[in-house]
Amino acid sequence: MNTLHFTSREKAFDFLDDYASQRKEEIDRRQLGKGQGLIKSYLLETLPDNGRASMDIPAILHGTGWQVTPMDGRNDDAAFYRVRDSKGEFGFLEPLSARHLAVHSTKETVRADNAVRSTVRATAQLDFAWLAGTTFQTIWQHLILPQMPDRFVTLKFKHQARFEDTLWDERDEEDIDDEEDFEEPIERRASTLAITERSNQIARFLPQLQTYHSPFKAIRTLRIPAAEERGGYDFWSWGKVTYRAPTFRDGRSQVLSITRLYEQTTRIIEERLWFLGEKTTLRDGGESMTLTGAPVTLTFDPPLPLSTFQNFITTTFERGQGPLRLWGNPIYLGERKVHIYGIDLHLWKRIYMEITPRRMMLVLPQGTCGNTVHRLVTNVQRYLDPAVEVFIGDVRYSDLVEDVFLGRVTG
Amino acid sequence: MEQTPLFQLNLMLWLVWPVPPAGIMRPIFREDGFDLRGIGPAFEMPLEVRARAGVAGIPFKERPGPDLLLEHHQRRTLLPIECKISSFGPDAPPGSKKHQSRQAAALLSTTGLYLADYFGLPAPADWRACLLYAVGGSQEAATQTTLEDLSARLQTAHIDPTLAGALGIYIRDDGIYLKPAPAASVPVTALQTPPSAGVRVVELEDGEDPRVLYLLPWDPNIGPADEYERRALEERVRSALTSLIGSRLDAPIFDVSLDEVLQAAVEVWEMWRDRQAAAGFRNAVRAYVRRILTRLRKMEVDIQAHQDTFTFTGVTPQLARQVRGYLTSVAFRRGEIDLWSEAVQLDFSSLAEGW
Repeated sequence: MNTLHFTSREKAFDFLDDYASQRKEEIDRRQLGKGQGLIKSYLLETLPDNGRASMDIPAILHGTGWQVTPMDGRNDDAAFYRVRDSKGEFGFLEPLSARHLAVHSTKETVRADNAVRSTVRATAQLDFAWLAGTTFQTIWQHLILPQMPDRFVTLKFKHQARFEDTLWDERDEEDIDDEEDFEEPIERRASTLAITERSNQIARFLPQLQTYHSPFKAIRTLRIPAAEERGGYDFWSWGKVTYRAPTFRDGRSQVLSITRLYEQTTRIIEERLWFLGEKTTLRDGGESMTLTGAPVTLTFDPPLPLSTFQNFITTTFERGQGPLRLWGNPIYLGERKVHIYGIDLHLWKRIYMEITPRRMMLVLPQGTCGNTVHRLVTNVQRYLDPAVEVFIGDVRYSDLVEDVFLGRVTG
Repeated sequence: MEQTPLFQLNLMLWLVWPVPPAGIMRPIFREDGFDLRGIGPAFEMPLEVRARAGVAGIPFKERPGPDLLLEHHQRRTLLPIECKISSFGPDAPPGSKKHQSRQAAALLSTTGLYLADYFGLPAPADWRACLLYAVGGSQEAATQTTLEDLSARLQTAHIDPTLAGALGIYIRDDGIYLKPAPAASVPVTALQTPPSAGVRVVELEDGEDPRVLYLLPWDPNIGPADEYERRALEERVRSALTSLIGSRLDAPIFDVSLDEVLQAAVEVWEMWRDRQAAAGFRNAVRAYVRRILTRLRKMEVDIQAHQDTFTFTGVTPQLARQVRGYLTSVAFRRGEIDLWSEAVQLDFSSLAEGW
């Protein structure tokens, strides 16, 4: 794809629509051309907006190695950018809101995934949008099942009890494709499964599967069927979307819906959780301060085995490895409890944590992105406990996601 | 562990926060409808009350401030809370300006009407207050006796005392319990007919350290009381500095100020910043920041200091990677932070002078 040919967002959409249609035909004929990547969108999040109207794309990408050129001469929310990286043309970038942006690419999976991952890692301005199993479950229960009972849906589950082991391999974090996953002969629990079946059939057995084997709650990918078309759009837990349907515009529309759900949930989480000192002026001119906020609580039932808990602390904090990218000096309060007044290394924001085999309690000082909560839930489900219960203050995380999705709360 | 004033204060703070229902914490104030109104809100006592106490010879603080002030808007109830390790008697030794009985007498003289009016709440006449002393386990009965004694003296001096109750904080193997003194009257539903062992507010596993995560890591009036409190504050300072520098490195030019570091480390810093007791802490943090910036300058980072603000310029992506590499290194993470020695507490050199 030579993106230099396109002079407007509309023309780029037309091209991507044609491209999606061609690839879908090839998929249907089982002849997807070598090196012909499916369209992929990567949903990314930047820092809380602090009231700004639009994001400053060049400032956000400073230092990442990506070069962006605006189309249509616009540089605002409706802007659309061509993206180049060190290997040449990469795709398109568009701000979706003051806080979220999408990168669309037709490059093949490994090239595209690696480019986006290394860009996110290179800056404290960007993180992925993390879609936890809980979020997928809500979309499945309240949209796909009632609205599309006869459509084929694909669910992929992945849980790796990586902290049952003391070793961590960085490749464990890469979520490229099942066939490319690194397999090593170490004994620990792992569950990976993909189901493609009609919705109403899945509804018959999924609840039981989840009851008997909790890794079925760790949904890694959910295919949302395309409206009135064969195929659908695969939403990955780390914010990637793979287009397996014949239109780009329909897929992008789904991306926008998920972004709205995500953004509103994140905003409510921040409103409820942000820990800050607030000053009040008194009648005599004196001042008083109060503290507002609430904790995030993740509960593990049954509790984590002591060795898993200790491996988790050692890997994450003492060795600085693992998927959570948290940093800090654990203050050990016995062998089953630690306090960490640390940092979330994705955006370099503070986070205070109490961790025991039974729970994690997190306090997010003001400015720490609510995205941190989504990332923690997603990765805890995948690597630590797929059945984890999460509370935002005194409200269940799953209830919050559901309430936002169904419009019962506004934020 | 031995209870400390900061532990007690943080425990009380958690009991006002929303947490999962049926979880390991039972926030008895929150579940009853109380909110946090203020931390250490000081207020001046009415002149006539001070005069009457003076005439009666009652030790009295002119500007008391409870550790916490809770508010129940619906019931129009204010709950000043004082945290103390031990009980105290009603008599202040001659010349003692800091004896607890002075603060207790003043807080007992503070009516709901006065507090509500002082804080500018609507319909102040509708408000009532109840003073709560949260003390170490087994100290509640003696504290209650002191409160009753002081109340009687105030009545003699024609001052109407407010309701008051003492609450013991008990740490047991299976949890932290709050137990009101037998004669205490506390307008918190869970504490009105408590089980004989008290109300369990934090569930603990056998042998679990009872410390809660500290929301408030420091109080300049008391300072850290044990090794945990020193470590917690040190780590708050380290993470504050790390976050402020690390999150800004993607811009070629940016500032970080000492006040930002202090505010990030201690969320209520603004309340204490002008207090004499906070000066030593400020100096110590400044010395630590200066030490880290000196290390960064050796990495060719251009940092100019003006007063207590430092400006980073010419930050390239490569330099940003290097600095982040240092900030996540074991050497930095494990590096000593001295906030306590006299040498750093008395260090008045500005950053600019300190290069």
